[in-house]
Amino acid sequence: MNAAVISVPADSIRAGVSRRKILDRVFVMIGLCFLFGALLILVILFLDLVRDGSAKLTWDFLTSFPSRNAGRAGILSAWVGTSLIMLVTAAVAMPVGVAAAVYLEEYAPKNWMTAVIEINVTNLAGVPSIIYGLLALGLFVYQFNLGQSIAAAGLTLALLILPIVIVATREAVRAVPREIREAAYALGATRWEVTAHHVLPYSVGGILTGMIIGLSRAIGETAPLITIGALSFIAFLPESPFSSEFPFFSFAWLSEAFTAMPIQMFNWVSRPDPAFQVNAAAAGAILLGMTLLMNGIAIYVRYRYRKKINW
Amino acid sequence: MQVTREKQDRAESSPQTVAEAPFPTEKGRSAGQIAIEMTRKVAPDEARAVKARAENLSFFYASVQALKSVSIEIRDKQVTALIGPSGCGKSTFLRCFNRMHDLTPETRYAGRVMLYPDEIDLVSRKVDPIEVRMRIGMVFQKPNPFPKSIFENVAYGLRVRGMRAKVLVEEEVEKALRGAALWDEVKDRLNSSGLSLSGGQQQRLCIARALATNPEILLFDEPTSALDPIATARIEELISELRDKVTVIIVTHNMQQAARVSDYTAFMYLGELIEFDETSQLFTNPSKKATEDYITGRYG
Amino acid sequence: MPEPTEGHTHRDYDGALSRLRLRVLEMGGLVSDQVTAAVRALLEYDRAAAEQVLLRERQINEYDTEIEAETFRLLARRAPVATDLRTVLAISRAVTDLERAGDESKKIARFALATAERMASDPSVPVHTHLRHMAELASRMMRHAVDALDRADASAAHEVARMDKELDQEFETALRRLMTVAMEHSRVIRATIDTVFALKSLERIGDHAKNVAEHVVFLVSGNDVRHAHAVLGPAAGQRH
Repeated sequence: MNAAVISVPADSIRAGVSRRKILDRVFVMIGLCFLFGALLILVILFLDLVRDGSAKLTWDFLTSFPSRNAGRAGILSAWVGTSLIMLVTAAVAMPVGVAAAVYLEEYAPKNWMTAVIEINVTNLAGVPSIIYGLLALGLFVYQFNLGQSIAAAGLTLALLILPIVIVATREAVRAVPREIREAAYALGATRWEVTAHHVLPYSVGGILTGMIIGLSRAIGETAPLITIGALSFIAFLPESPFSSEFPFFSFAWLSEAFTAMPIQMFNWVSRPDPAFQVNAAAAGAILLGMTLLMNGIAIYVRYRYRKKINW
Repeated sequence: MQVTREKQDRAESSPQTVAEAPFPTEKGRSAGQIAIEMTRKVAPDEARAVKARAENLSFFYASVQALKSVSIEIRDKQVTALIGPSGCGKSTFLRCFNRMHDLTPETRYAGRVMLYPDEIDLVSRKVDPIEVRMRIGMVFQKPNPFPKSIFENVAYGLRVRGMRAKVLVEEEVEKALRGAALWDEVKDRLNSSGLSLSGGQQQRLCIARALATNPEILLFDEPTSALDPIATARIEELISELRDKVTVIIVTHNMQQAARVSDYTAFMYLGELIEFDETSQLFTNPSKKATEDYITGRYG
Repeated sequence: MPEPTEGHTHRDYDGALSRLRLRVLEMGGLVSDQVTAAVRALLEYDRAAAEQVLLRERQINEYDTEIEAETFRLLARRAPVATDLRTVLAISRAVTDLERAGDESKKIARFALATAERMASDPSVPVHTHLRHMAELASRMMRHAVDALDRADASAAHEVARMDKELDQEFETALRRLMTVAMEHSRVIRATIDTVFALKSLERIGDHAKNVAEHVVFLVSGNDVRHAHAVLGPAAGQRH
């Protein structure tokens, strides 16, 4: 083979490279523009909310019940309601979601049935939330006779975020390298021991992140809660779970009527009185703050676990 | 008294033979003695019992036959090496010994792998793979320590076997780390993460982890292909030291490694056993042309 | 050695082994010629042949050095095993024996020159006629051995071993005859003693040829037959 010597002068190479690098830079510019654009919109929204509701961002606002008087209205019952619902949601979605994901990843045989289940789980994430509301109304509120309670709300939202938890858990479990499992099996561990001693502990970061992302989605869901009958005017708090007498802990609060932050906001926005708009804005700012806080925790958790475990 | 000491001095200063000549190796032992001892350690012992025997072992991935009726005798407390080009089935063969293939769906064993002295067929459906893995350990190609502390890594096998007593566990962990020539390097930081060690150290940690369970056979699946030459040499030295204590089967694609480390070598090609012999015999005078071609570098 | 140097995936390896083989065969041919020339110088008082032998001796030493260096490099770089290893070791050992055979030829050539001079000044009993058969045998043995090395022919090698026995017998016979001559003609004792040395050189050449043959057997079968004297028979060429 005759190796022809191609003499490429250094200048033409340089010119070519400069040309190609321009494209590079253009793309970076476009990307940055869009990124900052989106962030800017978010920041503007948030600042706008805060500005509109700044008058009401007080401690009193947080500790007062709603009232027909805009000045005295507060979100106590709303944020307590939201918190309790989130508690139930987490308590239900976590074990069910993790168990389902572990089953699908580790135990399920790779056949058509498993494939069908997997497809369905992913599709559930796209189902409109009001459908969940309707389902919950028929199933939890009437069939199971839970009534329009915190328990029903929690279960509804748990169903809603279940696909998110399952997918996040599966990703986290899948990220555990095959070699670790092989090493554990090679030492004589059973499948459960491998799952419980290795796979789950190493996936905790991903699972928690998924959980919190699910919760921050659930915290803002309004449609299903309205469907199952969230009230927008509750001037009392559910019974405290802690009491000073035996048995020191009760579940009575689960069956109580409830309201939630988004509901309260929606209610206030629909009132003509401009003072309520201020309330709504303040509540919105607080809700946004809660969401950002939860996402922040998720990021921190992920960071902490990533430091300890890097595959 | 005076006389004998004089004689001793003279003997030391004017040796009679080469074997008696003092050599700065070890106190009190001459070069000749050391040479004889070295030869004795290296020669495989014909009188060793058979620890395991593969009898017409075949293996199928779905409909593909990866092993074709392989029969090999594994001698007790000796190192047996498996060599051959990529895809010849040596890793597949190795993984039959601890039923790792059971983790993959659609796999099937045919034939037997007898473990002595109990005479258990390791690949029989009636034998629980967990039981097999409790008796036969494995070290993998890429070092895979758990992201736990060094201590917990080595202790995991013991925990699975239900060992709870803290003192006992600590003892066994130390024994295993010494056996893997890692104790001196990590004894002050047993609680630091296993992943903080270098590649060669991680592999020795994996060896310690496997040793802690006192396996009857220790399987090495290309243990040094991911390591640099110095780490490789240390692992090879370790494997040599494990001879006489544990039965070892090692798969390697590095022929020189097989030549250095093993007592017996098996050459496999396309799922079949081509030749099995004492290592020194196989590398100086193999009986099959295919073996000769492979080890001298005449592939294809 | 027809095939053993070929077929490696590393072509350079083939090349290195081929070069080594070529060199040793060249050296073998040269030594063979040296022996023949020395013998001719001896039997036919050929001064020119004797001087040629003395001149070419230096070449043999150069071959020795060069081949040993090549062998050394090959062992370090290629870590040969099995046939390749036996080939390299056999070549290295054969070179040693060839070099020594060359030295013995030199001694014979010197003796031939001395004899030629003595013949010029004092044409007396040509005591070295007893050397003829032995000399020709030694010469033939060396040619055979180099040939066996070329063809990696173990049976040709054992033929050389047989000839060595014959050579040893010839040595004994020649020695006896010389003693008789020496006893009868005391004037020629010096010449007789020199002749004995020449006989010894021839006997040694025979031994070196036999050694080369043993190396050939090692190359082919992997059996070390150097010290198993009775074993160098047809069975020695078999692999077990």
